[in-house]
Amino acid sequence: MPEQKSRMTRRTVLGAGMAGAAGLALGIRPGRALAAGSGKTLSLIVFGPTQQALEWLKNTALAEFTKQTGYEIEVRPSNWGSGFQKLLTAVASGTLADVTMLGQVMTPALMSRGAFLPIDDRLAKWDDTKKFYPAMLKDGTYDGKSYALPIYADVRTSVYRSDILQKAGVGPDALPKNWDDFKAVARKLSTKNGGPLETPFFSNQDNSVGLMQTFSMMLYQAGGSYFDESGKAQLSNDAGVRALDYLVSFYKEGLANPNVVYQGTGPRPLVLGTSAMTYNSVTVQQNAVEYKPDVEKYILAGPPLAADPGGKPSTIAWINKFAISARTKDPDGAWALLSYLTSRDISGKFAEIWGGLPARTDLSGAAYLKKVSPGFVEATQYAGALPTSPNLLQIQQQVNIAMQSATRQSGPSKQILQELDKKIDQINGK
Amino acid sequence: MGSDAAASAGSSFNTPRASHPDLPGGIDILRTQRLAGAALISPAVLAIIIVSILPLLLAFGFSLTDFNLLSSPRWVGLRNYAIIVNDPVFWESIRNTLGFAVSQVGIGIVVVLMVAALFNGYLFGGPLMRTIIYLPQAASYVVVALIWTMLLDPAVGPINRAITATSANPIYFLSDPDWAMPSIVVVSLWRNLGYFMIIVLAALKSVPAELLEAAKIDGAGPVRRFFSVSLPTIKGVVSFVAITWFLGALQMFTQSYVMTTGGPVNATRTIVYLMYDDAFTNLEIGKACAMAIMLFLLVVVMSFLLRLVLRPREDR
Repeated sequence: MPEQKSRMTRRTVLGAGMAGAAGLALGIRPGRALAAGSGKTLSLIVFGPTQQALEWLKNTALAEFTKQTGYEIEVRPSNWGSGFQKLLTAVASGTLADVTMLGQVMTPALMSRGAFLPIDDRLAKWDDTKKFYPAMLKDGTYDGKSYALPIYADVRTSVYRSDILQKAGVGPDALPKNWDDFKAVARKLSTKNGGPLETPFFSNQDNSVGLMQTFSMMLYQAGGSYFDESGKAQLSNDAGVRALDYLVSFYKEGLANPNVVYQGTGPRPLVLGTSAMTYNSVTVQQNAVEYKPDVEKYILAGPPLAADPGGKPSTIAWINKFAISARTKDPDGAWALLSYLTSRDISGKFAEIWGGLPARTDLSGAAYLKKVSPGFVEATQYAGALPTSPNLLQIQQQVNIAMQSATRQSGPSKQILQELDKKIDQINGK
Repeated sequence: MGSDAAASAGSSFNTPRASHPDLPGGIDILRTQRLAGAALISPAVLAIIIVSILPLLLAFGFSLTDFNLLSSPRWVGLRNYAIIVNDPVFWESIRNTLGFAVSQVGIGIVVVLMVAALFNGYLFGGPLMRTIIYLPQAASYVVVALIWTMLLDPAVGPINRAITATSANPIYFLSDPDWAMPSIVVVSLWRNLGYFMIIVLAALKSVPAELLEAAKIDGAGPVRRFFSVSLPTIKGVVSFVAITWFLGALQMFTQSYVMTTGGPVNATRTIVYLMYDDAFTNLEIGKACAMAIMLFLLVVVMSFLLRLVLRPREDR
């Protein structure tokens, strides 16, 4: 740990230096901007910070911003679980923070209701705009206008416990690439076949929408999508049914247990060693660091799967962003904060601490990525985002409930998905 | 309230009109008294109007609109009510809510009576034990729910560790649809026990000693004395506890929100949870208000029925 402390210090110093440089590059010369922001306050909402993340944000990143610009920043941390509700009530009551963090599904719901300030003009003048991955930048647009800048991506892929896989004779160079391979490994690991685990596969059931996320990945891998060209739900088409049949088959064969739910605290099943295969992101590795550091070296990210041998691998990325409130009294100050937070070094450190992958191309060689299992980074090229629907929050909850029911084998996949399509169309007014 | 008390309370209204003899023209004393009374109660009435009646009327108004908090409400008449009654999840949530309330209060009243009786001196008691039983009430539901979520965790919770230590399979208390609601009932019971026990204990302590003494002389044992003397004497208090507990249970939300987020497969989704989802996830404030009005009606009906069932026999 002392070594880690020393690294942190160097990084902090480097981060502060780079932040200063970024500030200068943005034209925020400390002396000049101090006069502009001195004595003023901006508010900032962030979701899901750990204590360490919050300390870094307040004491290092924002302290430097205050030094450069004179703006004091009031940080309002919150958890992801109730994030949308908090944003919604803040928007309705006109108390939304000047700059706010946004999750993937919150973004279209609030953008479509005019909660944020369009930033196209500012982006056009900002040199850094072209440094963001275009797909991630596009995810912050709605109806042709840009409202948000990406801060990091939560890219999902297949994740394994290499030590447990080894026991079943699966080496790191023979990781599954398609559904059949993946299922074969799960079978090998199962106690039913003399393997070490009762339920080798964990499909991310949690108190949020983890199961829906796993299904969505399988849906994309099967070549499916949520909506057809007219915007009608099409989960019950062949691709959707195939994806759900595949997911449910793990439960039917006893390779997964629908009652194993990660409660949001403590070690995840993969870290705990009660399962050895899942679909997740860098957060699994972080979870190991936090709860079982000795296990971190066994967390191995594999390639995203394809449905068929030789098929196209596919996965999903959840892109988190920052946006400016439409009712901010200080748009220039809010933009200064937004561009500072998404500047190269701050954005890189943010992604590292929050457990994501960089949203900027110039961070592809970031030092922290050397500590991340390479599979996570490689998966980025296969990642797509969920559709930008204003009702996505409501839809994903319905999908998650349907998946909870399906994994308990409540009925045929086709029927479950047909009912789901009907509900989704109802939500979308189709 | 007995008939004498009612007559006494109503007597001032029967006082003949009188004028003050020392003042020219006279002053209507009764009118003055009424005005003074009205002035004295007006702050309380105003508070009730502002915090209870006005929001209720507003909620009813919004229930007839399509409203998403971010744009102006649009009149839709009774459409929200029609959508709700045709939604199977609503009926599932009604079933969950009533199931929770009936089981919690049904089991709770028995446990409260037993514990209060024990503390009243039949077996053991003492301020320390009473304090320990009351302590969970001092913690907020969120804290209680978080603690129990950790205790019941199938992988790292101590309860399941004890279960698996005996070579049994872990119990998925919060993620198995068959176990989730019973677990929440037990947690809620644990949290509320102390509060209602104190009320019942106070009632038990007010049972006239001479009645208990007479029963003892007649040869009644502790159990018989409890059922034949104490319980009938405190029946009114027990009814009060049952009604307030039941009506409170109909509004259960926090435990379900923190411990299971309404799952698994809607097994712990209650009416208030559904309201919350409609209002703050689905942005359907009108529908949430319609559901709030329906919950209000349910509470009124249940309150009336419970009073009817639990009122003392002599009042029927």
